[in-house]
Amino acid sequence: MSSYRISGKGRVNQSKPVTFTFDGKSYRGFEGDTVASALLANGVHLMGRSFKYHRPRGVLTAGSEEPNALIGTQRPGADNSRFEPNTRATTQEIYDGLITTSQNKWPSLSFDMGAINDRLYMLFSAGFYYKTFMWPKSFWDKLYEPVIRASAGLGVSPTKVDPDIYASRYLHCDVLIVGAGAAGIAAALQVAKSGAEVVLVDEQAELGGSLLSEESIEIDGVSSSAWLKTSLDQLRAMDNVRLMSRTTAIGYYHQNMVALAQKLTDHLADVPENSPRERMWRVRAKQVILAQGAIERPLVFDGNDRPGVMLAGAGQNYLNRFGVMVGKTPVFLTSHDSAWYAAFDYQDAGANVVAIVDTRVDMDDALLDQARQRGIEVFLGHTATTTSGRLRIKSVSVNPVAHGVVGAALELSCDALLMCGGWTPSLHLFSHTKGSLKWDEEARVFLPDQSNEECQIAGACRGLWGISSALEDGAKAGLEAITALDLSGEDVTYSVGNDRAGTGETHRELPTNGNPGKAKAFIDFQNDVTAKDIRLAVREGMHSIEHVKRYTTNGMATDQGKMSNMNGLEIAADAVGKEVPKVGLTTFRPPYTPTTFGVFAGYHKDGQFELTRKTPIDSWAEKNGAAFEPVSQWRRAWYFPKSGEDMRKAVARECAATRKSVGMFDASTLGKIEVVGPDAVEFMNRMYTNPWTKLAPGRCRYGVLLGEDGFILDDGVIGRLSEDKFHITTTTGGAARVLNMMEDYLQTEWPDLQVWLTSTTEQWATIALNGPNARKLLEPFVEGQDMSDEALPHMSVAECKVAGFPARLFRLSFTGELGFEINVPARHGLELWTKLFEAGKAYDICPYGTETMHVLRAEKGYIIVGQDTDGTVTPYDAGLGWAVAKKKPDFVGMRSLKRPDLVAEGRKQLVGLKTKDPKIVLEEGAQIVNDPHQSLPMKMVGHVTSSYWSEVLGQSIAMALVEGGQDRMGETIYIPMPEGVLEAEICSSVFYDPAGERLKV
Amino acid sequence: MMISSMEMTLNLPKAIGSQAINDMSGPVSIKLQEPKARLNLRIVQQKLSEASKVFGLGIPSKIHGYVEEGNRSALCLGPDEWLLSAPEDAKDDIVASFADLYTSCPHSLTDISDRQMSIVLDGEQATELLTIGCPRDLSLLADGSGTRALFDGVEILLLRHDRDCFEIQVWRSFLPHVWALLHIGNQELASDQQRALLEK
Repeated sequence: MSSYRISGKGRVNQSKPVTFTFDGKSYRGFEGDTVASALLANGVHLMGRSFKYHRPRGVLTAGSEEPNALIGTQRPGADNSRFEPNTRATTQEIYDGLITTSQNKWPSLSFDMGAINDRLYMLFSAGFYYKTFMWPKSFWDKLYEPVIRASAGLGVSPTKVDPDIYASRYLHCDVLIVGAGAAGIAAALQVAKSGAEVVLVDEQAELGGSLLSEESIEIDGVSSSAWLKTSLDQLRAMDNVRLMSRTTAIGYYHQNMVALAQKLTDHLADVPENSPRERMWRVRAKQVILAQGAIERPLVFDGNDRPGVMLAGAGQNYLNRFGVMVGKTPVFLTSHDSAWYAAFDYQDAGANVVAIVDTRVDMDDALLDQARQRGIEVFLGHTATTTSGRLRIKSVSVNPVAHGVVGAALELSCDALLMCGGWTPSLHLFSHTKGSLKWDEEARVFLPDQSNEECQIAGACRGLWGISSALEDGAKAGLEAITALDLSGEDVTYSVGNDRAGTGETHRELPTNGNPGKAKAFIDFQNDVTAKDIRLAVREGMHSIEHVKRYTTNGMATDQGKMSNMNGLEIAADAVGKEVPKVGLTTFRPPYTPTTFGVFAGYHKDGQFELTRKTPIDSWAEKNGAAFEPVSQWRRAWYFPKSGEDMRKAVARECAATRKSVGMFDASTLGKIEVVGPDAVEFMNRMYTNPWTKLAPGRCRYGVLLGEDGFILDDGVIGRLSEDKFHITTTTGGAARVLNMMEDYLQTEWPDLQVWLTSTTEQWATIALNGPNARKLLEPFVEGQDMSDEALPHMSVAECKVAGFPARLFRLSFTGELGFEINVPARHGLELWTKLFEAGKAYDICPYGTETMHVLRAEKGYIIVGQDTDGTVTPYDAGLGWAVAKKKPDFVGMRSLKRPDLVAEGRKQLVGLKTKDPKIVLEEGAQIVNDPHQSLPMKMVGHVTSSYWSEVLGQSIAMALVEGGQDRMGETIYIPMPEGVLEAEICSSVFYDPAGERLKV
Repeated sequence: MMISSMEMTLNLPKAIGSQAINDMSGPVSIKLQEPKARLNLRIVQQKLSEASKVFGLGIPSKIHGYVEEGNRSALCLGPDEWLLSAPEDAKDDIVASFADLYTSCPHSLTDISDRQMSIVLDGEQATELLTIGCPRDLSLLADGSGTRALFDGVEILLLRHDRDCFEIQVWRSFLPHVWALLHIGNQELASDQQRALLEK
């Protein structure tokens, strides 16, 4: 047993020793210890170095608000794959083999070269980087920035991929209670009795809050720990109650959605297989009760950051909960009654309390009596002006303050200084919902006022103090919550003995007779922000609290101002000369405490990272070596390289083979919509630009879809299967959007039309065959349809059988070659593909992917919506005026097409481009100018939308949007590129077979 | 072992391997169902009784309503949208009967048998498994009802046959993602049970 551990005291399991390491040295603790409590038990206070000044630091708190004791944690084992930096030593439970390291030091914690910053601290005050490292200018890139980057940052980044599983769940409940201290548990008991579904969560490993460290209080005649156990057992036994420990409510969102980050395995030596490390719960609660307590506030004085300087409540926590004395000769420095009780507990446990130093002059007689009875020396009306001791506190200097004058110092030797500057109600979660705060002038704290959510707040969380008031307030909140749910409950009262109620006062900096301009009086321990930094910021013109925060970085550390907000605010308000509530607080943002990326990502990693849709034919493409590209949510075969081929070679081969004989292409991803009803034609006429009335059943038409704004939204070939039935195709990426748009119109604009839509995108697998031998290959497989040009002309559709499967057979072409698209029910897609491929070998059939598909269509000047259009292109701009009906009374976008700027001169129009050097392929997106010699900035008159090497034509081809392009055929335009200016000629976008002879077969 | 064309065209993730059709990795039974005839019916509410006569089943008129009789079922998805299910060999007859109805009673009956696939979840922890991906309050989904819902952002049909038995229908290309997550969740439930034992 180490000399700071008190045998038999506290809640850790002293029959289960645990060994872990810190900076390579082995330490013993017990099951239930945190790294902080175990190190303290071994007399270790030095746990880290501060961020900016590299000052030696010890642990300041006992909770998740810890700003100093940030460590790296690592599981034992050679692979180093679970290293986590910036873990708070106060929240990491120890287990056998846990490896921990201190941060921000070199070469060692006790001798750190970075401490040079501390000596030069006058240079590194707030905003120093705005004023230093400026000269000479050239030194910035070569010296200053690399050095600053190397020394900045907190902790060391992990280098291995995180192998852990992170889970997530949704949860609905009647009442969610955040915080399982006295108030939270009383609320839970009240709510549970009503039968409501209640969830009670706490960030700590054990539920109980401050009850875990208050031994002498009695509740309903039993010790508080006995009451705690009975209450938790009671709750645990109820089916409608869910208790969750190690679970932090990290954010409070709209309509009572609360996110909980639950830790599952960080405290375990052996992780069960397949166990997630953490779980994110997304909880929708009908009522939320916030019972998160209050956070202790440090006092601000020179040297208030030495190892061994700690918050008094934390000291009490280590003593009563962990059985660890943080010092044997502590001094208590306080302005609040709570530290007196901590002092009494230390004296009663066998410490030699050197003194209680209180800034107040008038004290409760009962407290003075208790101090006297224990023989503890008391200094009232005193301040602290400095401390001594570098790696561990050695003494604190206290001075009397009379009529505003600070008297001579008295140096008190001590091995720990436990301070309390009051308690700040925890407002983070309440503030996430933008609930309003009110300033309590007497207590000088902000309290929650109006909530925007169905929410109650109870206990110290709203400024109450003492166990009795917490229990009463919790029960009251529980009753309010169940009343709001139309359930009933009864008033509950508790009788509390030896309660530790109390009050205090708050301070800005403590009064001092030292030089405040030189004092290292810390406000934000993690970002090394001192009181003089705040005053400096205000002197330099930062008057808004938002500016003060960002200029000094006060409150911007991972503790998000839990230690520093109020002290910083009081000092800033004083410096600016305004009342505190007029200066106000900065914005609280989720997450409440540092939260892993993993728990936010949940299952979205590796195979589950992103949904990838595959067609029924995809497995064949994979087996046959296809390279894939993402298109919307799908993966599509991009090209099929043979051995030794790069994309350019593969695509050149595929294009040539298709135009020479026959190619096959998986077109299954295109959207398909079945339009059925007596008003189907009327619907089609209203939606698309084209006329549909005279399209005979069995024929197809290329449809153009505009938005209300007159710009091209989508396109696709549409087949009329019967009087009342159309088979629409859309682009792959537009499928859902187009269906939604159509349903929107039907439901809101044309509810009288008798026509209905169904998505059939995944009902059909679609195989395209293109090339002069396409019919020869396909014909033997077709039953029930004459395949001749007369019976099945270009742009027609038939229902028949292909390879024995029911099919919708389209004769259409996106390549300019004789083409067919065969739709079969999706389950037959792969089999049909395989059959066609086998038979196609006789024709040197060539499977091709999306890249070849793009090249072949570009050679024919066919547009791709979203590539050659960008939401600002009208059908006339794109040369598709022929598809716009002349005589329809209306269609979506018709009126907009008549808007002045849509009919104006000089609009960007789609044209073809031939590079002067046919070997040069333009870059898609490249900007076009008329005069390459004009001065900068140049007037850009368009851009390249599609660009490819055409193997068939032996030259590069491109499509572009160019101002007034359709009237500029034959003109030369210029494309400035980094390597030089390229020249191209404006030409028709139909590069290949302009007369369309290849289709007349 | 013969792999059915259904399995071949499903693109189930390789990591699941031979457990493809049945997932036995945890407390919930997860079974991929054989194909059925599935037809999307769209018709005005006032004419629903005509469709019921043709289909041979009282098609429910309220959204979420689900009726199952023999081997046929009908689920109401919207004010004018229903999902009809029947054995595959009955499809042609059903389509023909509805075609006869069309002249007097226009409607849309679209074959979507290949569009969506069905997974049945069965077990005490089936609801818990669903909460991994479904943000809805499942306690509000009554036995014998169904609804459109989401599972990890993927649109699904969710049918509750009874307290511990659900059916998920999802489009073919979304199935692997949903299946994989159900599998992960099932393993996690198994591991939750193990971890709970450890912490006793």
